[in-house]
Amino acid sequence: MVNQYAFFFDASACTGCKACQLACKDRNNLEAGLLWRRVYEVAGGNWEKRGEVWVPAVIAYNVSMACNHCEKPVCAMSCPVKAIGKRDDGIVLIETGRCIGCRYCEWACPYNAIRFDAGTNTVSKCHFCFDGIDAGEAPACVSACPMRALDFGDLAELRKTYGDNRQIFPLPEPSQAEPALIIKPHRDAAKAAGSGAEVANWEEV
Amino acid sequence: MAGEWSLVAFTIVGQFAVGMYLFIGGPLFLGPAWPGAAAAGARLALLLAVLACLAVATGLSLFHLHHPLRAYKIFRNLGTSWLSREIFFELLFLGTTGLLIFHELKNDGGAGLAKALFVSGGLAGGLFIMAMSRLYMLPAVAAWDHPHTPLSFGLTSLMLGSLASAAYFGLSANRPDFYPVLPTLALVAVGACLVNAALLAPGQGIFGAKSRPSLRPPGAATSRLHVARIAALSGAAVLLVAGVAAGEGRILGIAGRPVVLLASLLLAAAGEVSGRFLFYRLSGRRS
Repeated sequence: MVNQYAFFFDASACTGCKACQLACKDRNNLEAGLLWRRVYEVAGGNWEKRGEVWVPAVIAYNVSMACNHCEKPVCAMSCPVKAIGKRDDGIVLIETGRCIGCRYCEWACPYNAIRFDAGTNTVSKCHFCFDGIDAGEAPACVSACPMRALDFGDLAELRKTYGDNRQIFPLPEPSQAEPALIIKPHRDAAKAAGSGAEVANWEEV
Repeated sequence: MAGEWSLVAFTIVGQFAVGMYLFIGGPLFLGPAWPGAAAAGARLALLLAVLACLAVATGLSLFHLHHPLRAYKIFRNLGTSWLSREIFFELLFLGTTGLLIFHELKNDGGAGLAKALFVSGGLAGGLFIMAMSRLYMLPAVAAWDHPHTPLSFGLTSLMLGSLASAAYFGLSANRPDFYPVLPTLALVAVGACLVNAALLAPGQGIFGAKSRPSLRPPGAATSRLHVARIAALSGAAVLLVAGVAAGEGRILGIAGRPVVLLASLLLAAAGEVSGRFLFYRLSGRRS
């Protein structure tokens, strides 16, 4: 039995093709401008002097991010009407019929995963393709990734397979919400924060 | 930015109501006896003004909800949601003010009960401001998770309340004995707001919140709103200094301090409106 569903993301394998983003939009019929999974393009770098030669030290990698179905879901804790709840298997769901549209959860979520849906006038987010999960299928984003950079499963099992790293620049401190997420970092990630790297595609995400 | 106008109005009107209640009501309900029949009328007028402010604030707050008809469920999560608690304390404050109005209208004495109700209302108002501050101190929004937030909300209440108190008692026919202290108190409050804005304002102040790694788009920290806030608060401070220095004399040909104090109150309120728009612009949320 699954206690806490989680995503695994391999930043070293992701090419930034955004197939995961599109598969999510397609499966969930999301309106233009609404994204439940987003691919952040992290870019930066500088010139480094090696011997007598200046060479470019480029930082470039991608971070695919959706709702992390946190173990401590601060969105649910902040919701004044209890419209956000957690299933027994750890999937965090929004009950749109209860949502008053105050959008406070959007501010509270450290992963910027909750998005306002102008169609329903409520907030919305990744629901882990729970209906597919219940039928034994994989989430659309995981199935669509051509690089197999995404995986899913029980958090405890994923930890055994991939380790326990939950941090990569520019993600916030995991202690804020205890995300059900495991990340294999890109080789550039360790030097990204200190070298002025930044998200290069804010207008897309 | 304009999308948050209802929250700007709700927070500032709510903070003004608490400040007015404490700084005008405090002397009226808890202070030494004030010239006879005027006190009863003044208490009722104050309570009605506070009630009107709270009703307006509550009404305005509904404008930022996309399903306002479901708002009656707002108390479902008092256990963990500061938004639930904020509205709970606001309505508790409103209810206590309503009870005080009923008590005043009954006019059957009972000064002890009036004092107890006033203190209860003051506590509810204080908790309302505290919950409002705590609501925005989110680790996910670095610009707000900073001492500037509670200081700004508390000082807005203090400044607008003390300015309203100075202007109100200045306009009264029979000024109470403590009146000369009020403009000075208001000047101290305006000074504290200026210092808070200059030093701690997110994205602008010298010691403002530092950015952290985040998946949230950077907020639009426009300096024009910050400059407008500082300019308006400085203008309010200059008027207050002139008011304090002139005493009961004429100021720039204007008869009496109350007019200058009212102008100072309006400027201070305008400064806080600018500051609050800046505050919400830093949230990094898509409109």
